[in-house]
Amino acid sequence: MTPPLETGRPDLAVTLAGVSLEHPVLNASGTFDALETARRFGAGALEPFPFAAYVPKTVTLEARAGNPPPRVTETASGMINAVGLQNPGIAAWLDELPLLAGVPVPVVVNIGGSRRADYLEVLRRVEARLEVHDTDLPRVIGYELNVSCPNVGGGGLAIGTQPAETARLTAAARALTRRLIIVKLTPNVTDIVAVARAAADAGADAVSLVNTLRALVLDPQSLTPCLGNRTGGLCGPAIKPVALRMVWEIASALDVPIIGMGGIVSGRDALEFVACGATAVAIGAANFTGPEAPLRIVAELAAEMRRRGLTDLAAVRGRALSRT
Amino acid sequence: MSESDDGFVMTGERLSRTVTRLAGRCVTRASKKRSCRAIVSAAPTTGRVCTTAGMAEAPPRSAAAALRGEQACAAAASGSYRVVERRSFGPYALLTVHAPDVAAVARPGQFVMAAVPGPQFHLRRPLSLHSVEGPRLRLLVEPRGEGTRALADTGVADTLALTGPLGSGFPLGDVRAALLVGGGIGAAPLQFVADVLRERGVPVTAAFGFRDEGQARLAAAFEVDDLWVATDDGTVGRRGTAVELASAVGAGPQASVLACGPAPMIAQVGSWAAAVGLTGYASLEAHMACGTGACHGCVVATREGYLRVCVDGPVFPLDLPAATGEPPGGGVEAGR
Repeated sequence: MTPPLETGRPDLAVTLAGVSLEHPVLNASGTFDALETARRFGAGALEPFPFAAYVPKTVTLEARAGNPPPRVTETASGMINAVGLQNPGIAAWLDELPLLAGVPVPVVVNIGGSRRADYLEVLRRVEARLEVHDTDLPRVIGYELNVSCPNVGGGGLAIGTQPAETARLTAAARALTRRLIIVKLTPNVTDIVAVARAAADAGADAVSLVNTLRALVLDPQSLTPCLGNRTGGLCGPAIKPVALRMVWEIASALDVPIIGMGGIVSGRDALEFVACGATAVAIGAANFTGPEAPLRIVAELAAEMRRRGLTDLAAVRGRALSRT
Repeated sequence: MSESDDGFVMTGERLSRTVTRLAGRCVTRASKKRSCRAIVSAAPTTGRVCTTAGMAEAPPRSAAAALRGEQACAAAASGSYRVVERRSFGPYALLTVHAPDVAAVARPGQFVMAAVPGPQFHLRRPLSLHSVEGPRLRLLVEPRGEGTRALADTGVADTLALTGPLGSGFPLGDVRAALLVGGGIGAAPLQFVADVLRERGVPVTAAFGFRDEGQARLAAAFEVDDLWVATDDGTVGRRGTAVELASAVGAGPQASVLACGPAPMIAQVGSWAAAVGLTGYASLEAHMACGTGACHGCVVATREGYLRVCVDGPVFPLDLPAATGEPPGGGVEAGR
């Protein structure tokens, strides 16, 4: 661990399942795109890189067109979306992977799918691509299995709501790679600990939570669903208490490292997730409040720690837990 | 990847040639030289520094190729800017914002994402650039919901947090005469278009359609030499839609049709233009979350699949939006 900086900045470094990160703040998949950010704002917008690790948008085996629009709308203290995992498919995705070579932080590949075999094939193809020694590739440290998208038909929730299915996928993925396996959990379950335990027991290095909560918004005029997909996933500050409770439950019951997310818009929000047992956190909907959000949240986290006299995050991790 | 007949590399199924052409253009009124900074990739660069003028003539290339380190025109800024003037047109507000870095590189048809004052609002709202004058932007705001109402209520000396300019602009380089067709608040970016064309001596006719007398007050926010107005109920101007007005006003065979408004209106403009043999461009509206290409929340159905309004548009060739509202083959794979 590096000592606190001369400025008095507390040590934000964390180790997530053996991987050292400069600070605990990642992006939630699908809410930040490094390439598009560079295209809009110039590469200067990525210096410093706003996240400690980069999680690109979910990739699936075949290209997916996604759901019909409208796909997003604002709700009280948050938003609802039903994008439906629009992506070019793994083949085209791998073609563009060298574009991420300059990303100065570890990359976590987020995988979605309709069936278990699809997830595994995507993982296999990425591994095969990384096998070819190529200095022109980013540093991929692992995979996040998105078994929690509420806006697709097969896969997604069909796996993530069932501990046995989650375990089967996790174990099979585990057998294919030495890189990290992170299972992204859905809050749309009665017992999230059971799903987290299934993932951990099957060899997951970490769990990330929460994905969005299934939700419905009506158009005030027509009184019919706003979104093309009818239902969508709720995120933003509105869901933070739910997310905190779930992180807290898993951390109370299991030793698996946790990436906490759900409504984090400030440094204090991030610190609360750490107090509930999270090792790292991810910023999702807050990215939509403006491009400054991630670095602001990291700075606020440091300020919160300084204000509380904390020199590192380990001192506060799990403080909210009531373990016996 | 495939090599297109224009000889540039296309990388993405999503980046159609047409859209790439739009995205690759960086035509701007600003004369200030900008060095185009790349790169995310560590790939070797050509080391070329391009000017905006140079970029306008550069062969079009995909954004992905640009990131490979050869050329990129990444000009958007993000910050807090002061509102220096506010004019009302009924419930509508025309805000003038002092935003030199945004104004310097803005092109007609681009937009900004504006943060809504108040902690209860989460998403920024996309607002097209009504016009640009020196270091100032004008934004025409229609109070549609609570967020846009709060934006419209922004007063002089308040600050607005903006990100922009974003999106493609109208490609005006080849326009020899223009018929501007605007529907409701959608007319907003057409002032900027008219200003640029007027400067170049291009004849411009505008046909704006409004719902009723109340909405027609927006017409006073425009200064276009040859402006025609219609209302659905006939209370102001001719009775009828923007398209019916455009059809009545007519345009020479050389004219480009440049339209902005709600999707049904754009579809009508597209049909009419095709029927009379005119081509042009349309700026589309959509609910947005990020505004910068990350979330895929603002897509529209086009003949080439779902495209993002924020970065693939908002300006598209007039005939690109899918008439059925769904992309070919249907866009829905699951989950409907």
